[in-house]
Amino acid sequence: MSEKKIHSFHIDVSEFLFIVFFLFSGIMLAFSSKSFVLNFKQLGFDICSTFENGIHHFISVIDSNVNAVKEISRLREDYVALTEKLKDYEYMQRSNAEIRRENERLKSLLDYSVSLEQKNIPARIVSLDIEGMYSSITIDRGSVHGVKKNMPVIAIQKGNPGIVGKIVLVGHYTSQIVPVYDLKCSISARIQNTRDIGLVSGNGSFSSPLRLRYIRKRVLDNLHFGDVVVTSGENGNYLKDIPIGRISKITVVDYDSSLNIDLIPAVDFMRLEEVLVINQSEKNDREIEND
Amino acid sequence: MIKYLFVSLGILMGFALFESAILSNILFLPAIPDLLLLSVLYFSFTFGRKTGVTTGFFSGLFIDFFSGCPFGLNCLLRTVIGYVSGFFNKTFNIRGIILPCIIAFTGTVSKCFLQIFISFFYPNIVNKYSVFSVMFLSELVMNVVFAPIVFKFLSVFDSIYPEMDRSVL
Repeated sequence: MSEKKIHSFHIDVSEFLFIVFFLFSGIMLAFSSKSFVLNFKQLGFDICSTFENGIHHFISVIDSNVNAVKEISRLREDYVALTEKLKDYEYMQRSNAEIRRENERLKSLLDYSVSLEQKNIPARIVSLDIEGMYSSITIDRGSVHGVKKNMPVIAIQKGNPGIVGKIVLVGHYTSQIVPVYDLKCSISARIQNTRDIGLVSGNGSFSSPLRLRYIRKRVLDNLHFGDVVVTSGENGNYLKDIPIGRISKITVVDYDSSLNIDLIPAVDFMRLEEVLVINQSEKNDREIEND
Repeated sequence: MIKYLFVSLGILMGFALFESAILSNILFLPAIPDLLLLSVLYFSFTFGRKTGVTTGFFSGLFIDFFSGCPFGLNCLLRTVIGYVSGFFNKTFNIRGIILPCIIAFTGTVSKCFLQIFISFFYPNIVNKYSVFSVMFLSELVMNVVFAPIVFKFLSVFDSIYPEMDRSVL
């Protein structure tokens, strides 16, 4: 009797897991460019960012408590030693100056917030992106506070407004902003003086200048360094006339019919702490009703 | 095995939160050390492909949730890195300083080239790394510097991993 060879297909657990995870990741990446019925990114962001927000608050509380304890012990030492009083006084002066600066910053934010026709939601920044290749900012306001996708985000620094970016992802208590310096971000813009319209896009890093394109060469003589570039409000995504940046460099390329203009962002992202999320939809709805 | 998997997922989640809630706010850092990549490298070099591919996938998932990058990119990247580096399980003694540094260097460079490779298939949504950019070189240096510390930290949890599963891998 001839012995039959039994061919059996065997796959190791490691290979099986690899194939499953690989296919899942590849498919999800493919869906990232299109909309899908169940938004895994949204779901995951919602869960993770809530944790993130919690951790941020937890650290803030610990940080403030530790600082408070330190301050009490320092004051006690200063009370005992006369010479230390001077140091304490200087420290208090410094902290007063800090509070004054914070007050001024918040006051200017409040003033601007009140002056705006649109409803706006003040928010604090929780975290920045952990992937160097991508730029995003997470804030501590989400759908429960009225934040919606595509809402423009601005900041007030030294009393002047500047565009920060727009909301791309909304969780319950947190939201994600794609900033103007991100490679994916493009904003319809105008040069404030000449009213020429162009497109501002980012270079991927807040330390790199923004790029203004599609400005015709014949307006070169009318342009000056330091000219302000503002949002045009053309597509309705952003508020009109919010400063985006100032012209820092103009490059004329022979083969191109338009100028390459570099801009220094109006917002100093290194110092960004609070932002305003603008709800344009209510004002737009009112205008439509009036019309 | 399951217990260790949960512990390692907890560690990865902790690292992801640490990166996003604390390190990302330190603005003077030119780049953030990729602690999750270092962890995946450690898990796969120590315990093999099965652990490597699982931790690689979940670490990518956490980063995709926290980051603004397209969903699935880091899952794909880190699954492949975890699987491939799992082949070198027990080939090297990863204690000490030099070898973790070399592994971190190789892992970070592989991540960069793998991302460039993936960007050919998804050109519209995946950004390409620039190998000589300050950002990438800073990340590379940071990963190399942090590797021995992270490896030492993770070795504390080795005893949870069952001896029987280690011999199978």
